[in-house]
Order: sequence, then structure tokens, then C-alpha cells
Amino acid sequence: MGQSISEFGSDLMGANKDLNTLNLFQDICDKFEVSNMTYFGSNVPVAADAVQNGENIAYTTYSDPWVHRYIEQDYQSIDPVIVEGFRSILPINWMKLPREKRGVRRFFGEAKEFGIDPHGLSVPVRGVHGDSALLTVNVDVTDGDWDGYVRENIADITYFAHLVHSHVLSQFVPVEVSLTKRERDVLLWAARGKTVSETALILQLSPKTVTFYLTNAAAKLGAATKTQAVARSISLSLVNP
Amino acid sequence: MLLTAHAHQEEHRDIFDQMFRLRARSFLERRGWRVEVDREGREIDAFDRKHNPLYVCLLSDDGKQLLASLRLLPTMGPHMLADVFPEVMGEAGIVRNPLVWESSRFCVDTDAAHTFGKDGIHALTRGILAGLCKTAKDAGMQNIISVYDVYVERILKRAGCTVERIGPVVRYDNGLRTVGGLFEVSDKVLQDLCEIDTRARDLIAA
Repeated sequence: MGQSISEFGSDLMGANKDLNTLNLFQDICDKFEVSNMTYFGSNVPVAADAVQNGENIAYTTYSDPWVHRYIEQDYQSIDPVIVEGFRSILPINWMKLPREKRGVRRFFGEAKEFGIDPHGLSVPVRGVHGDSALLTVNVDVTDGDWDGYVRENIADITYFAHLVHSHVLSQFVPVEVSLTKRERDVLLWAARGKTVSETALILQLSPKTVTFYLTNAAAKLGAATKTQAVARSISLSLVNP
Repeated sequence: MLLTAHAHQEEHRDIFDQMFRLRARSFLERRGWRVEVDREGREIDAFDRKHNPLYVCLLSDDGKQLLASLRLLPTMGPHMLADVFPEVMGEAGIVRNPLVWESSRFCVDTDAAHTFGKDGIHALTRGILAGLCKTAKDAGMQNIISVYDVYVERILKRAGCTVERIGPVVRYDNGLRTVGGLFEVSDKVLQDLCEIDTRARDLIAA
């Protein structure tokens, strides 16, 4: 197994705070079996004092003709991915969306004509300030392989969706990382080279709890692996091994 | 059978009303939590109203009667352990993890449980946890955190569910002891629940 999308994305976003989100998506399409990637953020706080009046922000690798068609036809109002996605906490598998309504069926038919892969997965993101987002991947796989792809990649894509959302937020408002005592504890021992079971013994916690704190710390640091998390916590002086 | 539905899905209004009434009976009447109950006898809070949670419900085979239910919210957004009961997490602090959901308002209809035999409450407990595990697993989640009182903790333990305590015991309301729990989401946990009790498997079958 190579790198996951989150790991790859986290490396790039971590190395360059101003990384262009669309460029990131294009890099991912080049490296993984993803044919298109789209981020749609809603009520994104574009200034520290704009928490209640955020803006909609979108990045997509879809072709210009499809984007124009989508806007011109006001497809946003019938696109079931958008209609459901911003209310749901569950990822939306495009292949399982109901298509009884004629408008919806025509919409997906047209998307296909414009070369949009019907194997799509849209992951909802909820933030703490009333901000939310939807990250969609369209994947170049066969019908037969699609369910397996979703099962194997749903956690990675969900995680990546949040990494992208915080990256987008960080372009507008300062993002402060605050770790809890336990999160700092487990990172400190990881930084000193201890394994999860060794850390569990030292802190008198169960190994599962240690892993839980490590993954929570990684999420706050925008990291996708333990190694990335440790490196970032040290460079931010949150941990001093 | 298992039903997962978001609060906005009006087609499930009848089940939701049964759930809000079961919550009122379980939390206000039996355990004396300080919760608001409306004139129709339903316990509905701000998270139900404002944050469109996902409900996991166990229903009778005909889909008409609610047997057990709980509520899910992503930890990346507003949730109880961050916004209402942060003390319960102790040194663990506030969790913000895309792969962790919070479960709250866990309740089992004890009257309905009697129809499942002598330890019906355990069958329904395992069933709803199997439903929780399946729903979370399908969405790629790794852990569930939860806030509940020691009464629920006892039910979970007796049903053979492995939930770890995180944080201290905190007293709220009428001295009610409340704890935070960590629940692992994996194929193995789901399998184990269904193996201890085949009724759990039948309850979440479509």
C-alpha cells in the first residue's frame, strides 16, 4: 500500500500554508485513481469578524463547460448531492441516490455526457462556527469495484475532507492548534520513540486509549500519520521531547 | 430492524415522536435528569432542533414500534461533550476528530424489552450498539465517544459491551453520576456483539 490521499495531502498542505487548493486537487487526480475532486464550503468565515456571515467557496477540477452548464442551469437547486449533503452527517454515495425525479435523472445523465464519473462519493464536513463543507471525489473504477473502493477509502476521504476544510479556513482566519493534556502526553512519548504499548504502560492507560489520543492529536495538527503529528507538534513547540 | 435517519427527515416523524417520548420517560421520569419536556411529553433539546443529528433506532419487525434509540453528532461540530459536559472528559479534554462521532441520549424501551424474553434489555442493548457500530463503520468512523450516567454504564457492562471510561465521574442534577465512554468501531466489535447474542444480528438485519 502506498500513501493515502490524506497522507499525501497533509504533506503538501503542511509544507506550504498558502498551497493553492485547486493545484492540490490536480496533484491528487494525477497520483490517485480520482478523476475529479470538488470542495464546496458554506458559511466559511472569511474574516475573524465574519463568523456569522461567511461566504460560499468552491474549488473543482470539473471542466469549465460543465461548471458553466451547472451554474447556467442552476443545478445547485436540484443536485441531490448538495441538497442532502449539507444536512447529512453521512457520506453520500452517488450510486445509491434516488433518481426517480425526472430533473435529477436528466442532471446525472448530463453530468455523464460532460465526462463526470458517476462513481462519486461526497463527504460532509461540519465546523464549530456554523461553517460546513462538502468534498466530492469522482473515481475512475468499474461498477463492480465501486463498493469495495468506498469501503476501503471512506475513512481516508472523510479525513482528507476535513484537512482541506481547515486548509481553506486557514487562508482567511488564523487557526490555532490547542492540544489537551493527554494529547500532549502521548505525543511526548511518541516523540521519545516509545511505542503505543510502552506509552500505555507509562501513562497507565489502555493501548486503545493511547491510540485514541494520538489520532485526536493528529487530527488537530492536520496530520494523517503519527510521524507527521509528532513532527508538527515539535515544530509548533507544543511538545518538547 | 435498524433505522438511521436525520432529524429533518419528516417521513419518520412518528418514530421520532416515539423516541422523544421514550427519552422523556427514561431521562426525566425515571432518572430525574434536568431535561426539558414539552406539552406533548417529548424531550427535545437544542441539538435535536439546531444541529440535525443522525438517529439510530431499533424498530419492531413491522417498523412501527420503537424499541431503542440513540443520537449521533460529529465531534468536529457542536456536540454535548464539548458544549455541555466538558468536565466529563477530564484530562482527555475536548475531542475534535473527523473519524469520531459522539453518541448521546441512549435509551431502551424497558416495556418493549420484556417481549424479548427475560434478558430482553440486553438483547436490545446489544442490538442498538450493533446498529451504532455498523452505521459508524460504514461511514469510516474509528471511535464513538459518549456521555451517559452510571445507570446506562451498568446496562452496557451487563450486556457484555466493551466501553472504556475516559475521564472522571461527574455529578450533575440530583447527584446523578455521569461518565464519558470510549467505544471502538471495528468489524470485530460488530461480530462479537452479534456472536454473543444472535438476536442483535436479527434486530439490525434489513
